Amino acid sequence: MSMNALRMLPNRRQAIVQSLQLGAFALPALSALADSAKPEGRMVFVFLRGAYDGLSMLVPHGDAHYAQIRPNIGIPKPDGSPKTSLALDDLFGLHPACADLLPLWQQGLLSAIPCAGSPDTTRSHFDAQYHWETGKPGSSSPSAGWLNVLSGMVGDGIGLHALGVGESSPRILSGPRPVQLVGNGLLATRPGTMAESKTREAVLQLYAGDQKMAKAMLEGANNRMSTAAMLKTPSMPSSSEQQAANNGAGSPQGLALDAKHLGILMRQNRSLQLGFLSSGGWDTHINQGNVTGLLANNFTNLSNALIQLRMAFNEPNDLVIMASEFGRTCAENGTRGTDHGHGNVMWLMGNAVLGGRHHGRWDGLAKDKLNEGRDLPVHHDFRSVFAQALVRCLGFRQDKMAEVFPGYRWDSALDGLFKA
Amino acid sequence: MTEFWFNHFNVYQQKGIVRPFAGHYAINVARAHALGKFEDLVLASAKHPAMLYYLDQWLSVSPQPARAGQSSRGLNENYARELMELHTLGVHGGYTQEDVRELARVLTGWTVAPRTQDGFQFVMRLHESGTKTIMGQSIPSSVQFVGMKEGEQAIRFLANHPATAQRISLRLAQYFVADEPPKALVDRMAKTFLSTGGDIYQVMQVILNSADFWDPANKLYRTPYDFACGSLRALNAGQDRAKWLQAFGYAAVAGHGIQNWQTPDGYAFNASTWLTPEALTRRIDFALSIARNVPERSDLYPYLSDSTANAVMKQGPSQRMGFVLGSSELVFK
Repeated sequence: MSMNALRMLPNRRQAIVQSLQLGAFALPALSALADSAKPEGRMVFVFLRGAYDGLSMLVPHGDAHYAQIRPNIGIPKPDGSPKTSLALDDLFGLHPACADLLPLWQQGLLSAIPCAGSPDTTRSHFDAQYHWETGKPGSSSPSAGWLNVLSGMVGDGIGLHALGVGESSPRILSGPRPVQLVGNGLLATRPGTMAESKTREAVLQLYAGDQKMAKAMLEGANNRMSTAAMLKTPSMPSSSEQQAANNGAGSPQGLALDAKHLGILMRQNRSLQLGFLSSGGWDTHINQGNVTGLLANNFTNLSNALIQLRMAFNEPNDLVIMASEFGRTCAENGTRGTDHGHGNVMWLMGNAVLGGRHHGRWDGLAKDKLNEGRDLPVHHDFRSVFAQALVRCLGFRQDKMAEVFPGYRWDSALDGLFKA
Repeated sequence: MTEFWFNHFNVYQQKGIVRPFAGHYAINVARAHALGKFEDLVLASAKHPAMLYYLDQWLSVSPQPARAGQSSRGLNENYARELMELHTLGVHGGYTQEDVRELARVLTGWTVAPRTQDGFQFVMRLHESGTKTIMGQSIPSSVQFVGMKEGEQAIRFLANHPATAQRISLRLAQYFVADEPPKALVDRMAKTFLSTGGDIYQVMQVILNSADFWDPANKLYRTPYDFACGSLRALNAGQDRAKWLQAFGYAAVAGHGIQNWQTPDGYAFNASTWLTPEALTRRIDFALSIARNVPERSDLYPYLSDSTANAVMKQGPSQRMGFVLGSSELVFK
């Protein structure tokens, strides 16, 4: 087979899948993707709202300061038992509640950037999340979300290319481009009154005098029925039922269900290249626990969600990135929790990831190495991490990057994030 | 009007400690000045703890060298920027980044006073002395106007600027007349705004006396919050707690929770934001659900077109109110 024929394969497959399932038609690629050797990958961003405690998930057990500054909430050095951290290497370990992720690390599919984040020093969740979602640290002016902007620059540059599951209208996806938003938990699986053909007909008659409304109605009903049909699963734990009622970011438990829905929908519609998921419940100021407790429970649920994503996103250039708006204080506070910090651990998962190791700068937990003597510093701008990912996994053109992240800088210290 | 002004001078309850002040803000800023002078409204908002906290004005202090024992925080331009960009002039209102910075300098010292009744204080030692220039205006204009009066003078200047008159008139016309209101109407409103010193009552009179306001072709699509309130009203369910929760739950899931918009620009209120296919079907779900088994109100039928009335009457009596709520006539206002 010639090189040309090889290159065409993904496109043809994509076109066939689309025409079979959604009646969509393939358009020639224009957009900001590089012309040659298009990786055709997909990227999913998992946003942990509220600032998760990265130092409990990626445990720097090899740093003597860790146990000193976290006498009650620290995760002990690995001793092989599930009551301690699980050794990744001499320096880092994994929280035992994340045991399911250990094989991914060992197979080189999972990596961490321990000191990443936003260059802006705000400790406000509100401002920091806004900066992450607009891609403009320091600016609170109204702005489109960067995934929305990006969705207009990938694929054919026209149709739907981004999907959010969970939140009704996350900032990161809002803006002028059309994106697909699906409700959290079981909300997504319910076609509502539109499932009854009699009601559907009656509502269409109600709009008989208003063509525009009738058209919108018909389109909406079709969307909802097809989403619900794709997600239809015979049995679902009843606890997820409650998650459906939560507005905004769901709970960590709901995340696995949302992750599953995201995987199904992005498998069915291959023009969706960008996915977004979020969960709340990470703002652990009080009694966060250690190997067990509040945060440990969250990590169990988070691991379940990541495993779901691993199953759905396992093609050569698929990538999952996980992060929070900022980190938490390195030392525990007076209420056995942690307060708002600065830098934090970002995670990358996928076949292209140069995994089984951490990336970027790590200077340890000595006080003089910390931001303001208390937080992990931000050695790597989150936009630089995403920029590397977009180039490697989506084949996004580097010279177009400033349209997504104005003012970002290419960080060559992260050039080894992915397999060559 | 209260809703319009709260949204125009939006604050977000989940930022910092804004929440306990938001209700007070709605009543004592947005409602109290809803039909008064625009400059009084801007000043009231500028001095309210909800706004002082929300846009970080309380943290903004003079960057002049800190005295011993003081922290060396500096200027925070957040409020000054939004005051120009969103509250008054608008983004194309003719100001520059330098003007934003100068305004931020003028406003240093404006901060919260946790133990006083109105919650506002001006702290002279946090204020940056010296002359500032905003859009060619020297501030303070004379020695009598040093200190807090500098900020008041600047706000009055911005509130009565022609760009502000145009922007406020346009937004009011978009809110009360049409997503794209006639330019002639907006111009008349702006003219009245300037000639009356920003008298909102007089500006509203221009709207109410215009043919455009009464023209049936000028339809406005109800936002989810409008629709939630309108439905409760149509169902006479103002006292029904379960229906209240259902209505505002619907609005929240639709992305329009009560006073819950994060950024200072406030909720959009045009049809292109809210009239989307999937959202329309969820609105129908809500309408059919909240009105199920509610007795029909034949007094509403004269407002329906023949085609709508026919479709409604094909339903059984227990379903009819839901179809009335979901009709074109009631999803628009």
